[in-house]
Amino acid sequence: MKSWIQLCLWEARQLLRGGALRWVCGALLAAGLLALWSGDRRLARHASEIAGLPGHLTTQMEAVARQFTPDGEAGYVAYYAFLPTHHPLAPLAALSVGLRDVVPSVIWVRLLGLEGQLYEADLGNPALQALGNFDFAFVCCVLAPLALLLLGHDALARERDAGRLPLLAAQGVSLGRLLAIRVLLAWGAVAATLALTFALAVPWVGLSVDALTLTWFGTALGHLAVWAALAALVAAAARSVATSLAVSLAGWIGAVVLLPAVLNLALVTALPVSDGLEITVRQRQETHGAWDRPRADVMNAFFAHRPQWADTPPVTGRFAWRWYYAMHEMSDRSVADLGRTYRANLRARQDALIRFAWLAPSAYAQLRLNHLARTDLDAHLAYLDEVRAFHERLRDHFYPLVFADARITPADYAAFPAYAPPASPVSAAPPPFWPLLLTGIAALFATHRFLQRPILS
Amino acid sequence: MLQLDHLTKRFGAHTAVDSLNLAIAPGELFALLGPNGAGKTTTINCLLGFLRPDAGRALIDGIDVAAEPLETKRRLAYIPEQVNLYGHFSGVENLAYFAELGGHRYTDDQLRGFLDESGLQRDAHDRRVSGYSKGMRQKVGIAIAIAKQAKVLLLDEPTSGLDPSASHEFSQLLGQLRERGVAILMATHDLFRAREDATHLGIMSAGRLIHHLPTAQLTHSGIEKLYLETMRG
Repeated sequence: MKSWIQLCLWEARQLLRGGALRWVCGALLAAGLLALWSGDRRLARHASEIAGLPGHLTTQMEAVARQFTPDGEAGYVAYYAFLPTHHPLAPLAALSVGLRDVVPSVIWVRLLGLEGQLYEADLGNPALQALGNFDFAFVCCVLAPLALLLLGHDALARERDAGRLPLLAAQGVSLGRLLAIRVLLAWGAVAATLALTFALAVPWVGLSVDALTLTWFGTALGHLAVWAALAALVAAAARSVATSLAVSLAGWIGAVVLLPAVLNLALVTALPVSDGLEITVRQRQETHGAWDRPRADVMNAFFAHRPQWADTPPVTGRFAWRWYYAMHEMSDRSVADLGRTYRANLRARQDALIRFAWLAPSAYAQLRLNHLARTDLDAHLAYLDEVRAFHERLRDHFYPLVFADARITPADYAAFPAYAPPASPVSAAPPPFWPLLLTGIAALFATHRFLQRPILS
Repeated sequence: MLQLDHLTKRFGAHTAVDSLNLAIAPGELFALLGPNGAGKTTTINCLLGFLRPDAGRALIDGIDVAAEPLETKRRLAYIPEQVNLYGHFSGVENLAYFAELGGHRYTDDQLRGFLDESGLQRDAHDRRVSGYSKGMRQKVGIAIAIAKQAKVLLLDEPTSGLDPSASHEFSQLLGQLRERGVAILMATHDLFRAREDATHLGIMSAGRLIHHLPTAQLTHSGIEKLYLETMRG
């Protein structure tokens, strides 16, 4: 044990005297700070957007009040009353933005059919493309492995190139032990840089040091340990610095860019997911089509789902709000299966991604970090479910007024439902860590095999 | 102490070392002579475990190198033809580092003592090795070998790059090591040094040990004549 420590101290001295450490860790620290600054701005922008919602709502309701003073038909007021919902960002989202820059954080809803309103702002269904976000998770999952490879890829090859390997190996030290110390030191240097950045993030973006936050950072360091095993593999296999550098860079690009892209393409092809826009269009077509159908057919279909309104008088005139909203609800119901399939396929795609995680450890780790930060697909779908529940509250509130042909005054607006995000959102278990562990163990096993070769074979 | 038992190493169709038998007892210095490509360095690399023999065995202190490569390396010291060190470390630091790798820890005075013994001047001890000449690096290599306190010493053209004075000091050092009971195998082209330092010498050609003689029976000119005759076939 003592000799291990002494050897570690010597190797640490070597690492410190080499110029690479300063450059690599300095660049990583700079990238980390930039990512924190960007994440902090994103949080601030989001907080400002949320803080502005009551003001926007007041302005909007004042406009509605001006139009419907002293009172107005409930159906009319409900038509113009857009009510805000929002998906709050947890402080961890400053480190791991995930899907949150491509899915809406605020959705304004009204009594009309909901499905179209949900997906109006849907830009797509990215999963692995999210790798491109420049946040601290990107620094941990993409840049830190590169830094580690740069520091550790030539742990043995540089000795061979410099002609020191025979003298070194003749001393009776196990090359595996030497390699392990060097790669662990490289891991330690990179991990320490990340830890410093993370420590700064705590006060900077207001992180609370709790189990979730520590799990998040533990995942980042665990993922880096997998890359340490991969760096050891390259170092054990390559016989020259040029080879180890080329293999490292090619492997890094392959693992963080090409493989996730190929995997994504394969999953998109194998598990096609209809676009949210398609649901919106189908829902609108249903609504528009209902204008030409007999009113009684629309209402009877509606009453089958809402029997409490079955005794309302038949619609006889050219227009009635209850008929209008019944059309919208039925159009929602007509695309309900499509919506469920859409969500199920998105989840199936994510599940398939997890199964192939060992191929793309960085993308997988980022998925896990996003999940812990509640910026992943699950969190977004959970928010959409919350919006659905809120929309149901709108119906519960307005239907009695609409079906009674009631008139409401601006004084009644204060009783309109207000959205409040859940205090402790339900969260599924994060993607497991063991696929990453398997990759690391496989790399260590291969490293051991390479180290069995005689050094001049 | 050092034994080769029908050691054979092939590279494809080429047999670099052909059924080589050799035994070196404690206190003996065996000089292995031969032209480039004769198999001298390959023999040493097999003894170091850097190459796996295709047949036969190499034993250090009775232990098979192929079976216990680390254990045998702990019992031997090695000085290559080119001693390459860490340029950003001083001579003392390089010595301390390599000693640590070999499982030895010494005080600063002891380390400087080894460097003195190897002939490296005091004012160079704390200078970065990147500024050393080849001869100075060779002396640090010698110090590393002394510090290892091994039972077996393998030398591959050790005096290459040493000036005549340093070469003479090195010869004296080898004599001291022999007196301590170290078994030494030295691959060299230097017939003069071989005659001066070795207790036995062998001449290799095309992977085979053609002659194996005690040096006491030979004069300088006798060695040269035998060597040239062997080369001419």
